[in-house]
Amino acid sequence: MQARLPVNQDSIAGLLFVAFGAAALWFGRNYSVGTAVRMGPGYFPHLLSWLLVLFGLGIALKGALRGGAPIGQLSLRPVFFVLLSFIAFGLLIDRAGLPAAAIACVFIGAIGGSEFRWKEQLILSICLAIASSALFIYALGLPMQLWPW
Amino acid sequence: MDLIGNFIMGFGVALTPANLMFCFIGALIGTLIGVLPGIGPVATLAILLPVTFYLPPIGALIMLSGIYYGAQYGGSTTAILVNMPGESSSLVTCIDGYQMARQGRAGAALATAAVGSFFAGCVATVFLAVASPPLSKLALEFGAPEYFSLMVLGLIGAVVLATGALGKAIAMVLLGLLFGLIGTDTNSGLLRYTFGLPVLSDGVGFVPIAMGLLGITEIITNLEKTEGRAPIIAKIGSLWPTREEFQRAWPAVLRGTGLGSILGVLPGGGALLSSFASYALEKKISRTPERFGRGAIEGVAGPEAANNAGAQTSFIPLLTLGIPSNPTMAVMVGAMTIQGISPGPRVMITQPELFWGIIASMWIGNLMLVIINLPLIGIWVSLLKVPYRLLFPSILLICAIGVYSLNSQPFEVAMTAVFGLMGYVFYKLGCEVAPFALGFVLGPLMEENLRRALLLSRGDPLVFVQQPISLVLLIMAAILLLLVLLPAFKQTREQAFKEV
Repeated sequence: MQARLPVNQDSIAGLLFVAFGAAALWFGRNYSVGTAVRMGPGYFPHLLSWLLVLFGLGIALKGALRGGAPIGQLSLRPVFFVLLSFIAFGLLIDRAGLPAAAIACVFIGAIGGSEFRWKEQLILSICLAIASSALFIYALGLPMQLWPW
Repeated sequence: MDLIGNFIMGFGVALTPANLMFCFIGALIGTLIGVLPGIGPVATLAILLPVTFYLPPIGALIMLSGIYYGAQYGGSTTAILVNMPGESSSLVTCIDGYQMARQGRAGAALATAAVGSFFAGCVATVFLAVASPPLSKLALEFGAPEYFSLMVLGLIGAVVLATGALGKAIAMVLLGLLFGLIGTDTNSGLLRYTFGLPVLSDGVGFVPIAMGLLGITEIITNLEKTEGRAPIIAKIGSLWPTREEFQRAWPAVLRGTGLGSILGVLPGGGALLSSFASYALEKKISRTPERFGRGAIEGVAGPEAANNAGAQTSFIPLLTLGIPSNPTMAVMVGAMTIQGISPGPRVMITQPELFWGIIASMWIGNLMLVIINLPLIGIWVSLLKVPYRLLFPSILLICAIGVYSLNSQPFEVAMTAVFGLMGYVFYKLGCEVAPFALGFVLGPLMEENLRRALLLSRGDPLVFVQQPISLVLLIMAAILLLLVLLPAFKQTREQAFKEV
């Protein structure tokens, strides 16, 4: 017989909370705690971190022993492309200017959708690039570059 | 009378052409967002937060409040016509509103929702104006222990009303509080959890967090549900309710207004809770409960009045105590902070024109909404035909530009993406992000007040139960927690969340 790992929403969420709490304790290990009267910068973070670890353990145990709702299918395509579209915008905005960043952002993001028609999205991204440049740079005068070179 | 004088001053502020325009734009955008399914009011507020940076403080807040209550109106349109809630507080409106639409009474349902909301909005605005001054006077007496206890109560309220499991909601609050502490410690000047990144020395910005966790996560989860959206739009028909419908509707509107006004003030309350509670109440007291779910007009009138009243009165804790009672109000705190206003009881004294101007603008905004909504309903309906595959990339771009425009920091754009990923993971794990957002806003305040309270009491933690106001607040928090743990209440709570 094969023992199955109790993987469900609760057990994983609990472990995630424990990880966050432990990380906060580790990275905050040098913050002095002080006393209740004279609280150091570490007092409140340590308190929260320990509470978080405790609650995380409780949730994880409950999930492991009693089970919990299944996590369900992860859809990596929208996650990946939506995040990538933001990172592309961040990388391009200072280097290549707003229109280029906007086209990249819209086009890459659109790939994350379930029905991707590249011609349509190309037209959309160009239109939005023109519209956003006109609105944000010309009309509102935000400090963004059109062409950096 | 003082109140009338204040109102006149408020209208003087709200009726300036610029502020009227901000109010109108807010109400218009709010309706638009409310109508479009797939992006809720909190996400919109978070997305549009950077825009307000360039507006004067009063204009910014007037516009943001307009978006919030405008979305309550718009949400009901989609709920009734296509059985799709534009945003969560219209969930219950779907049940009977759509049934009415199928019976050819969509026009009557829409008119009832709009007029009921308008009435509720007017009453709640007066309630807000009357209840706020005494509350803020009380709040001026608050010392550090009272503030700390108040925040505990607010956070517990948020946890109790989160739909997920209690333990996970508490853990989310704790995590939010921790994220709120990132940056320079105000007391010692020590940099906490910045990992040597100078960008983080002022803390994580509220905009990347709110936009990532609330906005981006919502877009990703929408993309995940990939059923082809071909809404069948019901015919609108006559806008006038019949005499019988009218007689059924108006008492429900009154009850909904009362219920919503009270529930909106509670920590964790607001539009969503009010609409659920009102629907339950109408069904309970009706002599013919079997009509509910088959097009009972009370099931539209009550909740719609309640969610609008709740939306308005949830401003009370924010404007008087400086404590946000729900994630939307947390975004408002963010907006006020961007403008250099620290929300709290002093706002009413130091900036009366801001306080009363916002209140007056709510009244004007509600009137505008009736006008925007009823005659223009056809335009809103045609908006439903814009496919999501064109809509969401445009929203992504607005988000990215919005974050960047705040500080011209590409790093913050990337950070938004990271928070979006985090929000998605939490969504998959059944953890709600609303408690996190509240914790994040309250983190530094809570630490500051805990520190001060314990300093004054020489380290004695009993100070929190020795001060009468603080004790009362803590007892209220304890009662809330106990209620959730009671088996009978626990069942109804789970059922209430499941039913709709």
